[in-house]
Amino acid sequence: MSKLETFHVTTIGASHIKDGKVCQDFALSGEGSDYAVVIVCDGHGGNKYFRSDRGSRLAAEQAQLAIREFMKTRFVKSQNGGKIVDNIQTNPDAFMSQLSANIIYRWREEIAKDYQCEEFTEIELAILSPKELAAFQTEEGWVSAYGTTLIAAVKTKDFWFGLHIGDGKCVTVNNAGEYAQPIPWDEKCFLNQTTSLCDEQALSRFRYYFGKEDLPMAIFIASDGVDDTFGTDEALHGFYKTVLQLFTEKGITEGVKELQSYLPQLSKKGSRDDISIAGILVRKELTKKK
Amino acid sequence: MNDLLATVPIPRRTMVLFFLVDTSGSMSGDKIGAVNEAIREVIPEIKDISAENADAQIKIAVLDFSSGARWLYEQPIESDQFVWNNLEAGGLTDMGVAFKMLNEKLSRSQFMADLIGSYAPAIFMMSDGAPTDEYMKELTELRKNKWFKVAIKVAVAIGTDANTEILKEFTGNEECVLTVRSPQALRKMIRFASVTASQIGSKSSGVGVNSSADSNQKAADFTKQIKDFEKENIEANDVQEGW
Repeated sequence: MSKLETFHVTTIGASHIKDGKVCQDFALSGEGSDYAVVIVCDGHGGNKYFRSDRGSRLAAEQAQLAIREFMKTRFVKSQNGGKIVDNIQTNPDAFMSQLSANIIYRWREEIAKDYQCEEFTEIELAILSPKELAAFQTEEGWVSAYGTTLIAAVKTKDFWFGLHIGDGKCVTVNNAGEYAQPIPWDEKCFLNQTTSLCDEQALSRFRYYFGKEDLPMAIFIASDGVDDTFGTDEALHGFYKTVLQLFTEKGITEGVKELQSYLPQLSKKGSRDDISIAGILVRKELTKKK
Repeated sequence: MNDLLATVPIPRRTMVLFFLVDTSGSMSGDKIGAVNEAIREVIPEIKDISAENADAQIKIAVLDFSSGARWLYEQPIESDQFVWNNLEAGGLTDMGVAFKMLNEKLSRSQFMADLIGSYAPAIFMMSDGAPTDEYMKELTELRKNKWFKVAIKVAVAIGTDANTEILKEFTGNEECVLTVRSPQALRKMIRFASVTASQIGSKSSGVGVNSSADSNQKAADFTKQIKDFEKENIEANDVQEGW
């Protein structure tokens, strides 16, 4: 019987340490009653995103809550004959759109609470340019201080989906050992530019993948500190192949520990950015490879 | 560190330095001689910058344009393997063709193939005249190219007949258009601009800056250094004459 296992690891970027900045990534992982979920959020690093560490944490937490709610209530009676159907499987487009909207809504509520509890300080505002300061004084200008990306992946025994806004990558591996990045890319994410939960049109920038066949035996999601380090898809997939090999040889628990301790080196030699990696693994498939 | 993970190869990021060189008939003699000499001399310095830079390696791509345009190599070449072949001057000034060919190569499927998550390029253009083809449409398209938008750009007007207005449109910043009036000044400018662009362009600044601020900052740093250099060297330009 296969079992879903999840993990997540995060490290502060080498350049963040050097500049005295906090880690702006946040990741989490867990299992629900019949599914596994992983989420990685990467708060933006520019001057005006000075609360993006809070933004990324709140985004991950609220996405987890939203996913929990949606997964719990996805079984509904069909219009004909009252048969119970799985909403996500019958209408994935609508499900994913509603889930995205719900995540945005929840996140905005939470950052608004944070902002109301603690207005921007003089120290936080001091680093802004006059133009940035002016933008902050508009009605919704403050939202960008919390700006973050978000990647979430959910897997059950029957399907999986990935939901994504911004940069970072989601890589899957199937039972044949083939690597893919099935979530469509957003061309607006280019070099250091990214779309964001704080964008006015954030809902339109979400993209997703839903799959019911050839389910992956491993799903990796990571912030752009990882794919910036490896540059090409070939190198990135090669890295994940090594990670899978590590998990197969050492077991997931020990493997995750070793991966965590490796991340600071990876950041130092590579992108120098914060790095977060999370994954859903099918244990049976992993142990088979032994 | 785990042995397995320690073996994972981490590629160096790449920055491409582009040279766009006018090799029309009017560049014959001292002008093209100065360009050839200057670029040949600066390659070892760029190689050193690349070797000493933990963040990135620098690759070089050269496009010369006269009647038509040609890439010196099919792909950008690593600076430690780059060999400069002297350019010869003759023909018209098909700047529009050059813009079109540059636009084609500034894409992920072409010269920017291994630059996912790497650095914006630096583009150095040199011309002594005005385009003899219909350049405007190609320049307009080039300026929409996202790699071109974020690139560090500098243009050198060689002599007083160069059309600096077009060069200003190319760089988008009149402070990055420099006029040189002698072979010595040209060599100095080529050396300074290409070394500075390489140093700034390959620097790992503000990691995680999720806006265009990173490329803007680099462009601002570059502009300031170019302006300072021009100020300090303007006397040399004034007294030296002629090609």
